[in-house]
Amino acid sequence: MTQVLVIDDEKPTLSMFRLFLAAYGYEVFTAQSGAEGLTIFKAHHPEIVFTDIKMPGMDGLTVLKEIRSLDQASQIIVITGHGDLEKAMEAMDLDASDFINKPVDRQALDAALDRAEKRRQLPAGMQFTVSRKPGSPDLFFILSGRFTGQDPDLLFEQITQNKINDQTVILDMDAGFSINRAGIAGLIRTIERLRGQNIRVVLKNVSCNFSRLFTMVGLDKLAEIREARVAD
Amino acid sequence: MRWIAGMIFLICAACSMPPENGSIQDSRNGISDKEILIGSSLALGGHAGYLGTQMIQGAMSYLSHINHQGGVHGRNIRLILMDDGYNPSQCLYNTQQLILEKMVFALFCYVGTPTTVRIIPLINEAAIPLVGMFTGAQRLRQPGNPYLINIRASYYQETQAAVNLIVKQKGLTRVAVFYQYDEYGFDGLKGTEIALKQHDLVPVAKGSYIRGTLDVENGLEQIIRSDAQAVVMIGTYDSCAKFIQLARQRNFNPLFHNVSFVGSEELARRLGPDGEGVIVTQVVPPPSSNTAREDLPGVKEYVRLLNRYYPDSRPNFVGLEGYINAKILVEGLERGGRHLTRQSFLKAIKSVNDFDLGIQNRLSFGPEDNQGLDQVYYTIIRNGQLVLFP
Amino acid sequence: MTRFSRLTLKNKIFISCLGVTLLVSLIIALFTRSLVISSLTRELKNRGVGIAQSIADSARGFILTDNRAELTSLAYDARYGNRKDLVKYLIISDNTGDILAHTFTTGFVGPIKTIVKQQAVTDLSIKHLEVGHHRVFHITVPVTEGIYRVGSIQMGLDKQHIDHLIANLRWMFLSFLSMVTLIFFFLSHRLALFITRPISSLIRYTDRLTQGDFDIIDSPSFQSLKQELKTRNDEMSKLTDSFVKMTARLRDSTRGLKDSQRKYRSLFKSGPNPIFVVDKTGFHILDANPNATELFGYARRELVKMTLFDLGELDAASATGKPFDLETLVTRSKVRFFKKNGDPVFVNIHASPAEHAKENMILVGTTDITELVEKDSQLIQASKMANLEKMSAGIAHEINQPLNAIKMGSEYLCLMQEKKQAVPPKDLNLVLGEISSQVTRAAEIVSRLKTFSRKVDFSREVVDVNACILSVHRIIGRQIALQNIDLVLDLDKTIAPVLAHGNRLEQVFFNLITNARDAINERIEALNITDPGKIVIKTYPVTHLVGIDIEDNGAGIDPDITESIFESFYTTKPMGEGLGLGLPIITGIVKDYNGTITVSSRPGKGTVFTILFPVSTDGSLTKELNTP
Repeated sequence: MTQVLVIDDEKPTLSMFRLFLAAYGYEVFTAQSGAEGLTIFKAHHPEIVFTDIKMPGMDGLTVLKEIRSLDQASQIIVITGHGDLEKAMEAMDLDASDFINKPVDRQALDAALDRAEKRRQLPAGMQFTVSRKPGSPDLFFILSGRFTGQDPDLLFEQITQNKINDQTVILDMDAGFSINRAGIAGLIRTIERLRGQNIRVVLKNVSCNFSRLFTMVGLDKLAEIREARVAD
Repeated sequence: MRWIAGMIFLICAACSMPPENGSIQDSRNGISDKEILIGSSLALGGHAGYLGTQMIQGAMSYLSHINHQGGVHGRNIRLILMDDGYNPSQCLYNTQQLILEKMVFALFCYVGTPTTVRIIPLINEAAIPLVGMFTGAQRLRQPGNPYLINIRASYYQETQAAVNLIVKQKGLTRVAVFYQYDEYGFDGLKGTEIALKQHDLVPVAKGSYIRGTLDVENGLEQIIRSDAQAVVMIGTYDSCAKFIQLARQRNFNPLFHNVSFVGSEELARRLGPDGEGVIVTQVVPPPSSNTAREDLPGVKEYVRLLNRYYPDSRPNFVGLEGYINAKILVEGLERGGRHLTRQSFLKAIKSVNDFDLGIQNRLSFGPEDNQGLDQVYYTIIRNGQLVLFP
Repeated sequence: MTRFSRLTLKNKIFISCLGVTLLVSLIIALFTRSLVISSLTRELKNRGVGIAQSIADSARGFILTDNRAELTSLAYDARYGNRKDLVKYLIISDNTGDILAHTFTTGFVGPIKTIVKQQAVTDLSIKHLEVGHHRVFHITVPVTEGIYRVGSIQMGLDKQHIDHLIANLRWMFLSFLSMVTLIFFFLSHRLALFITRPISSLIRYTDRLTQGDFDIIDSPSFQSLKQELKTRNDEMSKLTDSFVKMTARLRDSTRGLKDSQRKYRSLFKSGPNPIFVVDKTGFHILDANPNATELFGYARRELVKMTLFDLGELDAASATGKPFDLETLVTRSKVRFFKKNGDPVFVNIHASPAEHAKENMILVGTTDITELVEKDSQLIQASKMANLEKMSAGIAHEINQPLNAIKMGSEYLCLMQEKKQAVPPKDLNLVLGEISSQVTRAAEIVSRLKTFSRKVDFSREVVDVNACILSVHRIIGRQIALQNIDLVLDLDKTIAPVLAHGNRLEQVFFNLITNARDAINERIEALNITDPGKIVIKTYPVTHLVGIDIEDNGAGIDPDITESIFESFYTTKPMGEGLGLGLPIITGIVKDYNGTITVSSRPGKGTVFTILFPVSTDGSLTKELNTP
């Protein structure tokens, strides 16, 4: 059974998580503080870790850093307060796997768990790749790996080397795709350039969490965002 | 404020004045229903006894006569006599007796200057009249004493007359004074000096003797040495007689001039032939005249009454004076009326004015005049007899 | 004595002078007279004795020879001349007392003989007798021959002689006294006049002065008086000089006073601020300057009918807890007054007693600070609003917690429902209970927000501090307890109520308690000290004040920053947490209610916040105004 660790200072939250995750069939560990969480992680090495960011004592980002340093492969999902964009970006920078917002709805939880499972299959620390999906009328590119600051130029070139004008480009984000702050900025720039060449951009298979994030940064005005549907 | 002033006034008023001397009681002493007591202290004995006795005889002659005729206003006049021997102290004592014990109405016929002068305080204190003094002392006359009724002329007048005779008439300038060393003598001396001063003269010598003694030698010596031309003698008969006799013995023959007090007849009798030419001033006319001059009626009366009451006595100047004194006394009593007081008596006597004594010498008293007679007669001893001259 | 005291000074002096002089003269006169009388008497007696003795010598011989004539002569000699008045009588007696000689010319007087008999045997003696109507000193001098007495001289010295002298003396003294009296009558009269006439003049001038005629000192009559007195150079002239100086000063000060009155009048009229003249009792408005009528919209005649309380809220409690008395300078800030049309006007009041008050007046100056207040409240509001963003992050986070729990719980139930799995009852209870309590929690958070943002009206109420604390305790107490922190309440029941708003006070306490909790938590976690957290809330009375202490054994505050903590936007909490506005706002609230807040802290040990509020005195002095 896959082990999940939930770290949050709110007891009610922990209780709910425990119920949920137990219902999903996970073995759940809970910790009320970052320190406690670290202790449990060291002891059990759970595959997935949910951690709240805003906690007294050791906060979520420190936990993230610590766990990351202990284990590159573990899927660390940070729980953010609603609309706390800054914290989310920080978490992405620290190579969090995903983030979800409080209050946590099922969809988000499922999406995060799903992504976590998929990513678990993938190797850790993937580089960014963009590849064209064959057999599609539009320009369909699959983005994978970690999209950082240097990568937008690459993306742009990749896209534009196909000599597309007045067409729609679809960017599919697979499970392995993750992005950091600089990456987002670059992505915005790229999309703007593309739009400058009258290329319409569609972002596909965006997990709902990322979708919220993109909305917050105003990407939804630059490109169409299509959310991934969660199976199950 | 007012009541304070009132208080002060009252307090001052309380400073009492001395009460009046004498009382009405005193002024009626000696008067009873039937009698009037008159007192006299005089020389009835001693070296001046002649004077007193002769005077009293003269007075008594008249008084007896009056008493015979029923007295004055129905009262007899009784004379109480006391002998003082010409001793002032005795006179004083006698007079005190007379006033205090005998309670006489008035005093009368005092003899001598020292004696009479001595009793002046008594007279004043007792407010008792004294009528007729055989003395011409100035002190009895000045200052005026209401109680002293002088009758005879004063020594001043006599010595004035003497000096007039000696200096003016006789032209003698060297005048000495022989005097009795007492009040009487001093008075006479003073009178002589006053009189001489008028002629710008002073006595060339002053000799004296003590009253009661015959120690005339010192005085005589002084006067002889002064080579006086005239000697005014103020003394009594005994001392003067001795003085003259001694002087004649020493061939000192100035003009001897005596005053009336000397006792003229006695002097003449004692001098004998030495008395020739001695002048005596008199205050009454000669009592008898051996001259052809007709006796004055007053004198005749005296002689007659003397003869009646004192047939053995011969009339003399002193006696005549006494007689005259009595006459005045009676006149005063007469005029005083029945309700006699000393005051009324004095007032009465003082009212006698221009009274005819029948001696061609009118007697007058006045408010300022307490001496009745003023005339001075000159007499000279001739053949042992005093004769009037000129 | 009263008659005396009612006399004028002049007459007092006059009569006293006269009286004293008379008295002294009288005393001197009496004294001298008695002295003189006694000496005269002594002299007389001596003289008498002398005469008697000389007579005795002369009489000796005559007594022995019983020569009464000579003795009588001697006796009379004794009375010779001017001795007549002196010697009334003289008697010479023998040694058996029989009279030998005497001077009683007119008769013995009275009991003289017996006297003589008596006295004849005595030695030298002087007896005071009355003989006849004369008082005499009867002097007896014995006449002796050898040692044997032979007789006596008995002499009567007329006392009357002396009595006359004395009477003369009496007359003399009397006339002396009269003269003295007369002289001093005039002298003392003149003296009294000399002293008192200038005084009377000065009195007249002083009267003129009191009537306000200050120029009297320049008048010629006064000048001549001054000259006259100058020559004297004594107390009178000094008095006159002082009088002149005083008058001049009085005149100047009166002028100065008139000037300042005019100045005041013009200041009053033209003063930029509303000024009221108010009476000390009851604060009736006696006068108001044009600015006052302008600002408040009432006409002057209307204002004069009102009291200061009618215009605005004057609270009983002042900054020092004393009632509203205007004995001293009093300033009151941010008092709410109302215009005629009902608009509120905020003013600062500055009151002081009127300087030249004949009545008891107070000048009340007001400064319109309405704008300031509004700006202030706007600022607070703005700062509140400005921080709402910051706060919202915190609120958001806070609300998220209950929301999350609710969401997850309900989603779980949905999930189970879809999976057609039965929810174990335990889990169901857990979920449902949790949902319910989290809703409550969320609601509280919302209401907290609401109260915080609510604009507070300014009317204050009488609030019991303990009640506030208790209600806060109800809200947050359980939470605190859940966090293993001891919340101890030590509330003194005798404290007086304060003038404030209950919910704002609750805000304050809430804030401080949460700060305390946070501090404790910080200590426990950051410093890893595990002894239990403790918050103590204590209320206690202080003279005219109510004190509240909120003490925690938390992390403490670094002494360097104890000042800054009250500054706006200062927070040690991470971004998104902690309002940063708490303490400044708390401070603002506390100050609004005329309170003070101070902090004392030991890093690592704990912190105490101390708040002091002035007590509300009994409500009669407060005019509660309803919000318009």
